[in-house]
Amino acid sequence: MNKNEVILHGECMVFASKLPSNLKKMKKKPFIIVAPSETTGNHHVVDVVDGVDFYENESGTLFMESSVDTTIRCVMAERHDAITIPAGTYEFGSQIEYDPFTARLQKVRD
Amino acid sequence: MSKIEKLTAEQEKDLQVFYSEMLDYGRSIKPIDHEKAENIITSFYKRMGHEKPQFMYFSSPKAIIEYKKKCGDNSGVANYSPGQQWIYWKAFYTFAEKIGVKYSEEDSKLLAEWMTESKELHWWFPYEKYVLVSERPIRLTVNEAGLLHNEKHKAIEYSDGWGFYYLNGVCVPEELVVTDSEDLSLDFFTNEKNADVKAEFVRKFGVERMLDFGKKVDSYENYDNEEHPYWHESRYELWDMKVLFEGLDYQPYVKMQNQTTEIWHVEAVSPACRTLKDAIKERFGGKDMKILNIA
Repeated sequence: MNKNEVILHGECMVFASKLPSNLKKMKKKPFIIVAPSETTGNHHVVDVVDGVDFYENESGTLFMESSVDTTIRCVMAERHDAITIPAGTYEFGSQIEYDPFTARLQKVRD
Repeated sequence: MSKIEKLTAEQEKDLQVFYSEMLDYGRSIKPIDHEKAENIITSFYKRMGHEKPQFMYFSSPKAIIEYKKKCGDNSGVANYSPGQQWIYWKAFYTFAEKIGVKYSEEDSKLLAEWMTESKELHWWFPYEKYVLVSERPIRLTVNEAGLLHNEKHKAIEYSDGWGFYYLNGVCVPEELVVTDSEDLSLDFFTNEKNADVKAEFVRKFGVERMLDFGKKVDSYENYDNEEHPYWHESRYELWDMKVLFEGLDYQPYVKMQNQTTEIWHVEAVSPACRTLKDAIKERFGGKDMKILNIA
């Protein structure tokens, strides 16, 4: 995956990145929630298979370093199909929307 | 013992039947048989060396939480079992046992007891000398995909009226369910903050009907398909929906289609976005990025 390319899984953005310094390595779990869903509980998650490590910076942004392909998917598949993320180093973000009432940009919430 | 790598055709068939049976238990609204419920809970107490507890029945888990609060216990949803709603893990281990995985005699017996617990009970909260037991919901409805869904009433509701409105698995405000499509107000859409709830509004209101109020500003059709294939697949368009906001000269929204469910999303971008390209860049945090894959 090249710089300036993005995978979109719902509002969740996955893009190639370098690992910044001062990251905290996250505890191994079967999967990591990369974008929570407040209404459905159908969070966007990435499977943490062997070879996949997750890191978090101070503001909560997630980074992933993987030597193998892994998958971004929803807890329940109905809303978004799973997508393979090739081995590499990635940052996770959220798409932005505008609130016309407050005239502010904010993360898309679902 | 060797690992089971593949199910036989017969086991595959059995799995489908077993899965369906377990789903039925998980979604059951059949009133609880108090005698059976008390027997299973008492057997757990006896295992732990306790006497049979006293049983108190409530109309819903919410009623239990309120009772706990009244008694000075503010722990909320803690120290409980949701009975039928946790049947999934018991089903997993029980099916494994059915196809030949061996457990110790004691573990096998205990698993069977927990399976009975899920078949006979809804939520229950154990204390040393008494147990607070919730009755089952009186309504639980799902759509074809098995997601909580009801277009007229709460999708899950208890006899005391407590429950939740759901459309296609999304917990939504009552207004979106009980208001007929033709009576829905666009104010609901403009005030709602949640993207999934807004998408359910668009689905019910009708995307074409909604955009009839606006004016198309830009479309995926104005961009090269080879350069932006996913703009075409998601059929991105930019619409001016200033009519929704008194006093605004221009308020753009991006219309796009979810590639998995094919439902439409209509989400606002700032008035600085005069083209679809501007709008997509803004949604990506101000970065010019090419979509490599989308779901």
